[in-house]
Amino acid sequence: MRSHRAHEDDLLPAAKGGLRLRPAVDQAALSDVLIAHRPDLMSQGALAYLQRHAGNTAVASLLSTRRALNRRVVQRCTSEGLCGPCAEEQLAQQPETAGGGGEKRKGEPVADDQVKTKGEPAADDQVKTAAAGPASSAVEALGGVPVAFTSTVLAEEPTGEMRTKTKPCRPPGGKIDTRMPQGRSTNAQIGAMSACTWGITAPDDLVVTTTTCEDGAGNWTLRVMGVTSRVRTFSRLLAGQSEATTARSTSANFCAQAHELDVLGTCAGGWYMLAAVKAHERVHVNEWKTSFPTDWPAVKATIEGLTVPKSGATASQKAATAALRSLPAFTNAMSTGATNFPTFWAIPDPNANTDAAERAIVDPRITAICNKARSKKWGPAACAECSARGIV
Amino acid sequence: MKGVLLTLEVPAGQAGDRLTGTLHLENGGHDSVRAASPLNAAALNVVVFDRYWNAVQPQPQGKANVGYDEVTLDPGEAVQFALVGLAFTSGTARFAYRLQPGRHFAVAVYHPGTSRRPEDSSFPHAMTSNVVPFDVEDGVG
Repeated sequence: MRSHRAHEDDLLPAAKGGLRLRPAVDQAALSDVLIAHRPDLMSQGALAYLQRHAGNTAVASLLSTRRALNRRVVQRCTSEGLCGPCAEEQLAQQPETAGGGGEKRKGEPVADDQVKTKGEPAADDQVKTAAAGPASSAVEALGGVPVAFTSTVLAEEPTGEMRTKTKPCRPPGGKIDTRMPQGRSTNAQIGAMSACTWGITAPDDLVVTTTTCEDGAGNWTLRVMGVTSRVRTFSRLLAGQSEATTARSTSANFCAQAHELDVLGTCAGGWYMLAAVKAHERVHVNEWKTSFPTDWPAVKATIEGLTVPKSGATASQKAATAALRSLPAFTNAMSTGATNFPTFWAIPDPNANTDAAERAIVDPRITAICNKARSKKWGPAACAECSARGIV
Repeated sequence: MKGVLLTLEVPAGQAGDRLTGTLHLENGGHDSVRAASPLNAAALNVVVFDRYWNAVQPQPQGKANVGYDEVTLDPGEAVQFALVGLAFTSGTARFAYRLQPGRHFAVAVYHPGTSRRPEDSSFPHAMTSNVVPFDVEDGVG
């Protein structure tokens, strides 16, 4: 809750035609007024003018207001689902969007770190030059009140010229946040399983977070910040099949149990193990996770290669973002089909790994079933799977 | 495989994302035949062409863990399999089709392997069905 609602009236005329700010004005609220009514106050030329005519306290207040505004830009950027570089991008552009940023005024100090006190000493005139170099910060004593300000953007201007700067895109291919949650197959996927299908594993379409930035050639482009690939899986026993347990073993069925487990199940069989099916599907989940890095870079490169001009209908970052993410190429890049991910879809199924995973589950159960048959004197020697294990 | 006949049916006028076909496997010979189910992994492909005979790419539906199955057909006996989405399971995954409106042609290729693991299997026989022309009414929704 704001304790004080700012109005245009908060910008009071100073004695010599300058401006001074009412004390105790909420800085965030004040920024609204500045944007709405006096965007020119956000320019560096105006800062110098303000300094001369209203004193350093007013300058410090305005700088503080701008920092508050920058923070809100970052928050707005984040709330739109964008992140770091986007925020930097908007921060860099903020002077332009706030108005007056591209105008050079000769003879007027313009950069934060160049607001000096030449010739016009005032009672509160103690603004010092901040440490040189990008992103330098300094704590300045203004009117006895310590004020910190950062000259991240403006200190890069050696000539003191305020210019609209847009931070260029970082090079494509940087590290991103990759997430691979696992979920249950959809009802549609489960419903499409044939009667002989124990399990299904498939990745959803990708969810990609991007930031929009300039490519240095007058175009907007995308940088991938994160990708979420949810892989869905489902396992079951087939209709008519029962879990092969020793408790269910009888002299009549133990060998069928052992045999059907040993061949890793058949559609017509009556016995199998759900854990074995799950182990099989887990292999596919891992196949997706381990093959993803092979094919993802090309997909990412496709996304980061898309551009729209920074003009016309896509002049603004917001419009460009919407346009870029609506391109068919972007939509196609979200697909986890065989075109984008040939490695995963080319892995044979079943394969040695899926068989090994199932066998690690069924083999101990076969042994247990055969041991029970031996203890019950059901004649396990006549059962090939038991005799092959020396249980006779 | 001797004497086995393969027939594919694809009704016209279906929606491109809700296709269904039917595969008939019939023993036209004089002896009983024991054959691998076309629904086994790596036993069947359905190939679809557009009106210009460009092959249409099927979309992977997922890694499908299919239990091996067989059918036994006496002389003159037939069995049919519903192919929702004209789906089939290759040696790597289950695939299905979503088609744009217009004329298409489909053909089934039956090629039962010798092992349950496709990578260890040989495929000594392959036979094709009739070629089915069919029209898709509605596009992919």
